[in-house]
Amino acid sequence: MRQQRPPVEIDRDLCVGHGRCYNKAPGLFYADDMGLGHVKDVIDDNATPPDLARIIRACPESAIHLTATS
Amino acid sequence: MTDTAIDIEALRASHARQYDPYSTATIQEHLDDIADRRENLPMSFSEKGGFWLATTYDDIAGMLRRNNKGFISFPNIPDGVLAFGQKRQIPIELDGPIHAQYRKLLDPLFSPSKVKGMEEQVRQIAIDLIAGFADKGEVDLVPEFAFPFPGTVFLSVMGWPVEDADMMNKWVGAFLHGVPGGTEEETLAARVDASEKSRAYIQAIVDDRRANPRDDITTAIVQAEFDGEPIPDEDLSDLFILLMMAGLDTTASVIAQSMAYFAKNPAKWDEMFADPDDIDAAVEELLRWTSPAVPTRNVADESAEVGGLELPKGERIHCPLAAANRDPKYYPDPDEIQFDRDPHPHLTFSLGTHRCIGVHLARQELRIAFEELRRVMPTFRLADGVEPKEHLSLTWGVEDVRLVFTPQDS
Repeated sequence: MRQQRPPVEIDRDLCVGHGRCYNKAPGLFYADDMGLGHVKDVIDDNATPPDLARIIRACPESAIHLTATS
Repeated sequence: MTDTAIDIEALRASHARQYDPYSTATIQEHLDDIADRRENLPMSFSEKGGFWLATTYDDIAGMLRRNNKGFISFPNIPDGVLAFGQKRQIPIELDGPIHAQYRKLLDPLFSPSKVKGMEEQVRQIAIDLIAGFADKGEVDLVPEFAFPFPGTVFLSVMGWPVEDADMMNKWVGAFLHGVPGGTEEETLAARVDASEKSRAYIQAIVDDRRANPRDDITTAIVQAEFDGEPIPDEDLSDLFILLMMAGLDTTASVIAQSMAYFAKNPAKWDEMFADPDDIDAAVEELLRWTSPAVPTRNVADESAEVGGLELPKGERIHCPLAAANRDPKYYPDPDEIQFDRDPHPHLTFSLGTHRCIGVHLARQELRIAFEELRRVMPTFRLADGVEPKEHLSLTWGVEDVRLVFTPQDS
């Protein structure tokens, strides 16, 4: 089973790769070769439901934002 | 920018309060003074040294984020006098495109997946060092573990001979702390000596990798080209020395400060390991509380705003990261270690373009260090009558942490 992409986005101008997002929620985020964080397109169904507000607050660059809900 | 010139002399005079980055106070005494400033004069100008001191999280975070956008990192020292008489330190005092090129080279070499691949290697180094004192029941943790652990990890991941750790640690000690208790002349002589020897040592490694490339970080850096040109030998040497220093003293400081704290707060040492899933959060809190680094930023635009003040180009602002990380605006009871804090991001690895290259390696080293120390020292205390001696200067840290514990059977 797969779930939809989580409703967050990472501001590419702000992310410098502290790694808080993919360390705290590896089911939702991943690191690229530079260590920059990215949102996974699909997430494992058995990934722990994340506390998105906490993850957003944990980003030192304030680079993670909720995407507008449709 | 505007036709109203800033009267910098008046601004400096109205915010005057001396600050000594090399004070002999303890770290907490020093932080108490910073807390008083934060309350009463959050931006102050120290005539001695000729720099501003920022004390709030928002001011410091704001400046670090604006690197290349109004601020630059050179010179990265409060009094503006180059520490070792050389040119800009690579890469921490570089800004703009050349800095971006170095980061593009270095960040992938220390990426999360690369660091993950080093985990067993790092753990074995910790195990071997701890085995050196586990059966003794007493240890000065700084020379026996906190300092050699990151040093040996550095040598190992760079592919340099790990048996050179003692020699390298002595050079780093001379660079960062001079000759403790010695005269200025003795310190300068020690630094010149360390500089000459470390450069010769590194040059031999560079020459070797050119002749005999290997699959290691050193070879990747030696073979790198910027705009089709190899990095000059002198710059390679500067870069390797900086990487060596940046990874050693900071990690050592976090381990040493933390273990000195746990020796006095044994319940916290137990709490740290109560839930193995929470150890990363505990490490983050220790990183916040120990914050060893003290960067300086410089106004690069015609003027820039900090803490409500408009400062003209060239003004230097000293930014002890611990000052930001102890700001009660974001950390209630900031001097307390609380493992379950809301994850407001600490600034220990800095922010923006100069974010610590070793952030992933440091977190891994720290988690492994504490896990392996826990196995040998489930309980420990400070040896009778010896209080750990702390230092401020260019990296805040602890010189000795003499511990007593139940010896392990060898």
